[in-house]
Amino acid sequence: MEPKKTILVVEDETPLRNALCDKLTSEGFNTLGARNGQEGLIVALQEHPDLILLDIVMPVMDGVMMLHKLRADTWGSGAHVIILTNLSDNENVAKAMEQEVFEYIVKSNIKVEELVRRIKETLGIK
Amino acid sequence: MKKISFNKNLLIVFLVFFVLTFINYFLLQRLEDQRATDGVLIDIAGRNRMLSQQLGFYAEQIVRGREELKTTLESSIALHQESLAVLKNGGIPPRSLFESQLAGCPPGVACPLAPALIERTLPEADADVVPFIQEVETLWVEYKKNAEIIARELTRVAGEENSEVLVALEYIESYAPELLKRNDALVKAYVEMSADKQAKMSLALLLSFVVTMMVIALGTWFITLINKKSEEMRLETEDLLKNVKAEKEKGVTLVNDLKKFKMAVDNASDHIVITDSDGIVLYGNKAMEKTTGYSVAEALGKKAGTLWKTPMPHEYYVNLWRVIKQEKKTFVGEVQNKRKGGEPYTAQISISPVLNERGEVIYFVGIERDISKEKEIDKAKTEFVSLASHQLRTPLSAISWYTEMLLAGDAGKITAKQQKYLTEIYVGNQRMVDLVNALLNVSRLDLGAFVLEVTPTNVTTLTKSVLGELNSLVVKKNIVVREEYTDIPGDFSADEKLLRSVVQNIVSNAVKYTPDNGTVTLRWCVVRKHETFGGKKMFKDTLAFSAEDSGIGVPKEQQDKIFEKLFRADNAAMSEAEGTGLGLYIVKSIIDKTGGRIWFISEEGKGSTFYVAFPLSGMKRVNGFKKTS
Repeated sequence: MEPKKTILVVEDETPLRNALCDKLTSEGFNTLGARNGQEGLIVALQEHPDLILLDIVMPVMDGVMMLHKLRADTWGSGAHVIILTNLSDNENVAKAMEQEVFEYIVKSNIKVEELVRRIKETLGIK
Repeated sequence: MKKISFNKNLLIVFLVFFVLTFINYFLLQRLEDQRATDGVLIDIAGRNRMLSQQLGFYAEQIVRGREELKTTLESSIALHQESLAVLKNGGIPPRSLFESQLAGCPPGVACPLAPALIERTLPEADADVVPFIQEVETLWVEYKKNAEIIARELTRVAGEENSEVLVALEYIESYAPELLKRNDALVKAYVEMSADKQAKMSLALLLSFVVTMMVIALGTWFITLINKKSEEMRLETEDLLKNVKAEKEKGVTLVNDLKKFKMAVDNASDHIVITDSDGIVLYGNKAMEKTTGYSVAEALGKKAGTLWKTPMPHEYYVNLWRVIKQEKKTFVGEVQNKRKGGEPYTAQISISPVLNERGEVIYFVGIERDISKEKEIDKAKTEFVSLASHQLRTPLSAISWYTEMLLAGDAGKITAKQQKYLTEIYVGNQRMVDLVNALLNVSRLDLGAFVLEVTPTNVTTLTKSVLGELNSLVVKKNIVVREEYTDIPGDFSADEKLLRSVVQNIVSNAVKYTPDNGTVTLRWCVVRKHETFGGKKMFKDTLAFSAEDSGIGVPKEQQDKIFEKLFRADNAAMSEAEGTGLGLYIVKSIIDKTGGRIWFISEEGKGSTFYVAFPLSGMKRVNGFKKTS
């Protein structure tokens, strides 16, 4: 039996964070939540999750900044990150893409089911 | 020049006229002289004739006894002799007749008769009469001898008639008619000679008159001509003066018009600069001073590009000069400029070449508008749109995800009715998501706030992916979808998302508006330069896409509005298919802004075919501004 994969959800909107955590838990993942980039960075560097779902527009520290700081860390430079945003096509996303993210997904354009499928794909789970 | 030559000609005419008048006078004088001379000659000849008759008469009377007539006879003889001498000398008494008088003239003292006159020989013209004179003279010599005998000798000597006298008388009587005849002939000859001379002289006079008349006519003609010319010149001058006046008035109007133009340009709110073909500033208006910070005086004679420092890439200027100087077209674009003080501003520029008749560039007219403020507003709008997207999408995502999870049974089993209601919520929410997405896309396109990320794109994969998303609808409506991919490259340079948006909208329209059991045919192919695609000739190698459906079609009278924002054709609005009226607007905006073309043919009730053409070289951002066709 493979150990459970851990996923960190960095999302300031509580309903969305909860929805994702619930769904991913029911799909058999360990889930961690963070309300902004600052929290997310701390949790990520402590827990070394297998995947980070990262929102962009957040108070205190936004997703781009967090990603930037994460990539500066030894472990963080190789961490799996999926950008999960409401914005498409703007400068922030372009900056995020430079930081070698696996994918970026526009929240309202994707079903939860589809999101789970892509997460599993990224982590190599069938 | 003309005037002088006229005067010269006139002078010549007058000179000739004077000469001819003089000649005429001279000829008339000569004629009169001749007539007088000839008259005298004819008189003398006539007298000669008369004397010859008298001689005969006197001689007879003397012989009959009238001795007293001897003196008369002697004088008659002398007169005849004298007349003949005068006639021989051309009407002038001969020198011999004046010898006594000449002798009276002491040497060295001027004689009353000029020797030239005295010694005059016969005029040549009188040669004609010489034979007649000689005839008379020949006979006269004998006649005179006999007449002298009668005058000298006594008629009776001792009562006897003097035989010598009788012989002389006999001679005279027998030769009197002959002498008369000869004298008569001489008179006739003189009359003829005179008539002949007069005729000749009259002819000369006539000729001279004719020439004079001609000269007068010529002179008159010249004078008329000169008058006419001067009248013409006067009229010309008048016309010229009128023209000058009219031109002056025109000039004044033109100057006023130009003043108006200059004032208009001077005070235009846009910065307007006129340069020569090398970009040297020839004119700048007030707005130029305001936008650039340079005064007109500073700008004149300097090169427009270097004067206001423009931190634009080199290629931008290379392209600009290519467009305006080689292609001779108007360049339109945005440029980042700096004012004199270094303050940056954004300008929308339009530079047009002004060509002469030969098509060479003589000026450039540059119109610049400071759009810094507009840019700021645009930025604010973009930020607002960005924020709104976040704010709108978050609740929509929450609704979507929770509904989905409920439907998936994540929160426990749900009843059939609950599932039905939740599905309605989910579908309704999804429509809202689509609308928000479409609105955001429109805002981005309208603002030009999209980033064109060109990557090698496989259009086959892209199309199949779009069809995959629509699969449930296709299956539900039992639509047959045909796909044709002919020789298309696997790495077309495109912004995948934008291209996907184009294909997605067109294909989903085709599926949406095609009734159940219909057909949709999608074709991708390469169309070479000058070949035809969808009824249009391609001017470049083209990657072409077409979507043909057997749908409801677009009503003919609404076909020109189909790409307008928020427009839905009547039959589309009536159909059950949902739509925002934004899809084709987005498609057209994307295509216009990435160098492509879109058009369609459609017949209501039968179906539509949409055609999309991109340069085979790939999508390319068309600078900022919307094109209408």
